[in-house]
Amino acid sequence: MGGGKKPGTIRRFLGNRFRPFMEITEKYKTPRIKMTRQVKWALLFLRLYLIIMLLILGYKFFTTIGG
Amino acid sequence: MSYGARSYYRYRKFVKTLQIYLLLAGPGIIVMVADNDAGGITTYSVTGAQYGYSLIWFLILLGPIAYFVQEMTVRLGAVTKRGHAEAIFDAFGSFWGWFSLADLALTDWLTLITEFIGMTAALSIFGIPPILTVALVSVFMILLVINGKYWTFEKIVLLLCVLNLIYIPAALLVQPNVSQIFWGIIPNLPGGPLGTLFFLLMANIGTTIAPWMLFFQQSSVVDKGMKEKDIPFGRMDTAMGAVLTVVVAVFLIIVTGSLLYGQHIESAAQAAVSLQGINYWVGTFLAIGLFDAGLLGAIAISLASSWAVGEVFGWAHSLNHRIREAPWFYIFYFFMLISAGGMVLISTQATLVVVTLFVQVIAVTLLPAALVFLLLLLNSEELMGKYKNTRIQNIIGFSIVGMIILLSTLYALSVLFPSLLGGG
Repeated sequence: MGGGKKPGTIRRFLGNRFRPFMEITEKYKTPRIKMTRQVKWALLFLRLYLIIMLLILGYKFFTTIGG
Repeated sequence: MSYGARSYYRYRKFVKTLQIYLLLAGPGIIVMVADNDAGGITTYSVTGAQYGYSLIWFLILLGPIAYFVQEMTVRLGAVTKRGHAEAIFDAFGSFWGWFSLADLALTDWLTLITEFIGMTAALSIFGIPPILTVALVSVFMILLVINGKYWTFEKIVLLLCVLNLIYIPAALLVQPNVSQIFWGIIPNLPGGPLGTLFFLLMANIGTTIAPWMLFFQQSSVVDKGMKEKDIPFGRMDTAMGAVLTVVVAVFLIIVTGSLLYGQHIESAAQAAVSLQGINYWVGTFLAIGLFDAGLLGAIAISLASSWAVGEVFGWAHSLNHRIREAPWFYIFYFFMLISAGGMVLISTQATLVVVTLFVQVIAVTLLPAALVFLLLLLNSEELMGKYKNTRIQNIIGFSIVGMIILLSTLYALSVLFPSLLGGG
């Protein structure tokens, strides 16, 4: 009997923990700043920059740990 | 109006302005002086030992740059009444918001560990064990914030900022060569391996402009309740802070440049011990200054994160609140503090070296985003109204941000791959 209730309890527990994160994500879903060409370019630059930095950081991290 | 009456009027006006300034002073001075944290003190010590007075001009140049960047956070905070984290969520959406918040929290936590490393190293010079240092610092930092008054917190921290000026008497004690200092003020590039010079120049930039500073000052301006009309005083406060940060850096370089020039120095604690062998009081002053720098950095960094997380999660997040009124804000602050202090006590030396290495690089991943967001926000008509950036401010702003992004990225790469620029 207790075993049948378990998944629901865990789901509810996790749901409660993550609810604030989901609410914040929903609240700020749409960027309020006017998406001019400059803003779009700036955000694209940032995405590319971060992807490159993360790849380098990941490579260094794993080679440091491995070495 | 007679000359006497006019002079009296001007005097009264000056006194009134000074009184308002003293009321509003705080965030700018604290953020700028705390910027010379334990890592910063190490960078300046190494710079002085490696190049003597030659790079003083470069540090003077960094003062206006730091002022220009931080001044924008004053305007943004005073106009929007929002902290930097909340402003990013609101303007750029949840993806960039979560990215900035997570990166800030991680960077701040790792930096906090480095502040504890600096503080424990400084007090170990006086025979105080790390566990006692961590315990005392944690208790002090908890007592500092739980009184429920931003004003009290700010004035105590300003006193700690005054202690940061300890490098001035230290520099006077070493009786430096004034004419050589003068030559150091004139821009020049010292000899030696280019890679090492470039690495130190970039390290100095990295220690002058840090992501947490943007978040701290903007949240601090909001918590203090500054309004649009207070912006000129916020600017004065920030300018005063920029002057102080440069003064501290320059006097420290004079100390290590005078007595340790040519020696291989790797940390501020090592510099303090070496200095004690030459002049006991100068070394002692450096150790006290290192501890104070770590403490100021730890206070500002823990608060920057707690304010940012509080803003986004909608918790009460003001130092004017007591613990029962803003429990999550204080819990997060205590968690940051105790977990970082605990890490220093339980980690091996090798782990702490890896943390010190990676913190600089992770900070660099946040810095471009934080600076670009700052400029975009300051250009938003609907957000800033008449306080948005002017054309001149944008030219200066984009030039500075472009240069910082380029150099800090190169710095991060040279930290990860020391042979990349021929240094190491």
